[in-house]
Amino acid sequence: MPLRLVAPEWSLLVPPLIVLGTIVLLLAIDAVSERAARKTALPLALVGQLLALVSLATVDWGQGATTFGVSYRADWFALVVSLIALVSGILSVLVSAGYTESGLEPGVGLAEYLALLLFSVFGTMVVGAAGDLIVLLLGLEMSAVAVYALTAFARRRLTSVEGALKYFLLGAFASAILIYGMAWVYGLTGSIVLSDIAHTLRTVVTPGQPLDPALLLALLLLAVGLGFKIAAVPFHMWTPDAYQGAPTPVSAYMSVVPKVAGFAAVARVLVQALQPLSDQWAGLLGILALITMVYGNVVAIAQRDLKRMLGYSAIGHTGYMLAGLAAFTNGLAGDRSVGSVLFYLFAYAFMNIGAFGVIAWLQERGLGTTLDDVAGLAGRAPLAALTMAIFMLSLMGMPPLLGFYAKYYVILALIEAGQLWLAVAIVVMSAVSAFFYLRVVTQMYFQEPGGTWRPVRTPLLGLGLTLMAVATLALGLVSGPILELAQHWPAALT
Amino acid sequence: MSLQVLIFSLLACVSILGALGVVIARNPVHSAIGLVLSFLNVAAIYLIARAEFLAVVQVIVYAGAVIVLVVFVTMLVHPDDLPEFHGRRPLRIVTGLVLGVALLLEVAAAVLTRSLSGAPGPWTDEAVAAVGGNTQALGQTLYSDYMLAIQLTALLLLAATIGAIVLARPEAVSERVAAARRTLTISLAHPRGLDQPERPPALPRPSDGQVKPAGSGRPIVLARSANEFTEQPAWGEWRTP
Amino acid sequence: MDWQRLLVSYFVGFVLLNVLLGLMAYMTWFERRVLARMQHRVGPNRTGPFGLLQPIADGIKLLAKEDIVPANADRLVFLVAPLLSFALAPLGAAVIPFGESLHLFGLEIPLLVADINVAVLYVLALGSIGVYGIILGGYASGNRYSLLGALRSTAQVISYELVLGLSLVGVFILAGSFSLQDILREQQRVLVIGPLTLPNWYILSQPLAFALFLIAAVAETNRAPFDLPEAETELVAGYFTEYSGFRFSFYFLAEYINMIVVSLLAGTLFVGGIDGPFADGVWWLALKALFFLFFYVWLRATLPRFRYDQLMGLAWKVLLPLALLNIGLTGLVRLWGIGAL
Repeated sequence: MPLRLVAPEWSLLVPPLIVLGTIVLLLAIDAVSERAARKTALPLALVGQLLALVSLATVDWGQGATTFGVSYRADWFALVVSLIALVSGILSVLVSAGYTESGLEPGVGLAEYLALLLFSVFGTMVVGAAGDLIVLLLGLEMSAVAVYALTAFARRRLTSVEGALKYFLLGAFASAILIYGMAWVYGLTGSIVLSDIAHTLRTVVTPGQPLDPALLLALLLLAVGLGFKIAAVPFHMWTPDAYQGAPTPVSAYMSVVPKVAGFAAVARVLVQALQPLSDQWAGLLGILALITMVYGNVVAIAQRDLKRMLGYSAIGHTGYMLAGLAAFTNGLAGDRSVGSVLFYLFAYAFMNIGAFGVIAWLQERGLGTTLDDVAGLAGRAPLAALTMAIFMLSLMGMPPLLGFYAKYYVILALIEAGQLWLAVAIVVMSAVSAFFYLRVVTQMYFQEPGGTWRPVRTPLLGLGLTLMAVATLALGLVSGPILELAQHWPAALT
Repeated sequence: MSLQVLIFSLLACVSILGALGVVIARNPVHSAIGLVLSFLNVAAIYLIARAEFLAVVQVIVYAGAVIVLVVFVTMLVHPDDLPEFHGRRPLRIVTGLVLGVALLLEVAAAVLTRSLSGAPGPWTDEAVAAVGGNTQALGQTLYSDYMLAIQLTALLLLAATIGAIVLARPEAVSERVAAARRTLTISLAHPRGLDQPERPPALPRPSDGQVKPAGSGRPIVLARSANEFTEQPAWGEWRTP
Repeated sequence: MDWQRLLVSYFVGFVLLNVLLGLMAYMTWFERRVLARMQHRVGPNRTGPFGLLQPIADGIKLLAKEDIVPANADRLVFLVAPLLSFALAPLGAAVIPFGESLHLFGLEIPLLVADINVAVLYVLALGSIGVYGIILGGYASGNRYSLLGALRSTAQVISYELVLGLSLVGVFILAGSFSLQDILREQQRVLVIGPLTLPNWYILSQPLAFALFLIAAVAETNRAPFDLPEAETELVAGYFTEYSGFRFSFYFLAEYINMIVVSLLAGTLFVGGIDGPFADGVWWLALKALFFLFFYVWLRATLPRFRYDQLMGLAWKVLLPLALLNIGLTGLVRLWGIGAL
């Protein structure tokens, strides 16, 4: 029997392969000499991701070329997802710098930490470029599995292990539901290739007619599974515990990249494969979005722990992003829905990782993570307080900052799609969120400091925070090119 | 009724009995045995469907590896220490029943539903025979059409392995000593940022009455420092008072 | 016609099973005699000429012993576990080809019980199920030592099973099949290298795989120097401490049958099975298997037992990487062979 061999189009795979190479190098150095790894791991991870970021320019994304059959798609959507994942990865490594350098956590293997983080970035890039359901699932799992382990990294502490266990169990459960849904889709359409599924569905689904119940079941299962992954209410139970329990840099990372992977999966599955069912899922996502943003923002008010508060605020932001997806109309060139979500994720990476970064910065100096701990920060460390204030205001959606533009584009997409009620909900919820975001700012500026203060130098963390603060301030004003890139999505997904 | 149907019914019945055993058995090891029984029968059903490779893999992976690990872990835990799964909590029983029935209905629906497009898949009996059998066909497809998925699975397992090793790796002695020396561990996840590591309880003294002198009135050697230990007589040289 | 084939196959299986059981009995005699000779002793020589009736005497003795079930035991599992071990052991022999078909009374009688196209995997699957005999026996005894022995043994068997399976992948790549019939057919070809004419036995093209297979097979059958589950000095005999009488002997019988099956498998997979000079036939396979059985005894007489951490370290840090290396090399050679490189 002759062997049938396949060779992939290597040039399309350069960015993920660079990330993979960095992982292998990290682990190899660690295996040879732990001391060398301690010195080189951090720069290596940064350089590797920067190289991957640069190498994004070597691929011609406009053609939508595929390789490995149609399993891997190098299209605009993949580009934007890879971009966001890599940028968040770099920022997370910068935020982790102090955590791992100062040796505050005994037993932390720096090389393994970074390798797992890069695995997660790699998985997210794969989800962005997935051409069929299996590759999508594997990418999603890879981005999640690495984070399960990272969450438990401070294994001396029960909160860390508890958060990881909840995250892991619910994540595994969600995966099972997701796979079940995928199996239904495969059974009904006879294909796992996203574009083929859309093609088959287009021939059998007539708009306006009630849906085949089996198809509806498949859609529901997929929505539930993916809902867990992006922490939409009512599938959010793991979020606050995992965010609070995990080491702060991991919380920073966890709040962004797995979410990017989740939303990329939602876009690939719902927008690309199940596009003929858009009437059904857009309505579903709209309702989910409303519940999610209301729940997240209202419950966040009651939190006194900053990490937990940011966890609930992350749920609220998931709601805004879901609203952006619910604005889907026809997938033609003028449709802003997915583009606005991609831009939102991009903006979210800077402000949320930044906010967690400031908390990590405080913890380095011996403070805790509650509201009382940031009291009077402006007197002690004016720059840190300013940075935190910028992130808080941006998360709230203050006009010239990056967060405002993100919300603005989502609202614009909603208005164009005629979903005014969701647009109004976003505005109202932003006003509600002002309560807990501004409370942090008032604590920092109008309270007396307490607790012990331990001055230490954390240059890399400081650099990362500065970068993110500047980006949050300035990127909003020059957001044109990124938005342009994100708005190319209809070419990729339809 | 043909021979095949007869054998299938037998296997299916035993498989269901095994599955029931998993749920009903109170001893977790018995549950695991039931699960193995069920898996083996499912593997035999694969054989009837002429999916030999799948059958053997089912046995090697599920019966031979996964369940062995489950048994391995349950054996290390005393049955009395396990949480009680069979308590009379009506809510749980009802929830379980409802979920089970829902799943059963879904499976029934899946069996009855036909593909929307109605077209059969590419692997007809002739196509399989042309490649040389089910096993060969599976290999061909996996390593050409699903190449990326295979490679990604390997990477996923690698990531999971690294994560598991990192979490399960015993801490180096030096790290443990460092952690014990630090009375205040500054932590990045604790709400107050401070962890008070639990000190080991002080060793009981002979005078507490908890430690009984051993042997013929010879006091048990319980030293709190190296100096104290050397003051004790060495083996064989009893100091006469 | 179907029924006829089924009956023939059943008959062959019946004969094979009985031959195996007889062989197994005399394997114990063989082992004791060889071991004694290596240790400058005499060995059993009182019961019959050269002690040839010794296995029968042993069997009668074991049958006559009391079958004790400890009060603390998980009764049903305790009673079934040794049977499981014993019943699974000879099944592996069902796929080993003992020669070309015979023609008797107008019937074609194939000299193997079942021609499965995933035969080698089937043997591996049996091995992985065989663990249950050990682990359940150890668990059901209700004894700490037995439990520890069972845990050790399970960890060992799982680890070495991996090596065993991976060491065979090279053979699969070269033969392009999981079927022992196909693998045998490939080995019956002749390899001509310049002036040399060699049999295409896989021991020549896969020496590393052969070495790995041999080591892993010894560990898989729980034999010295990998006989940790029955480390008398540490565990008071391990998982079968509480067994007595014939249930105890079931474990022993299973061990010896496993040894014979593995020897037959090694003979078929790596040194050409029934292939040999002068005339092909089952005698060649028997001779090769006998050599491997002798090798087993030889090892037991020569090597001390491994320590537990050494055992696991060897499997995971040495054998497994070597097996992977072998797969990679074989794959490259195969690609080069078909001109894909």
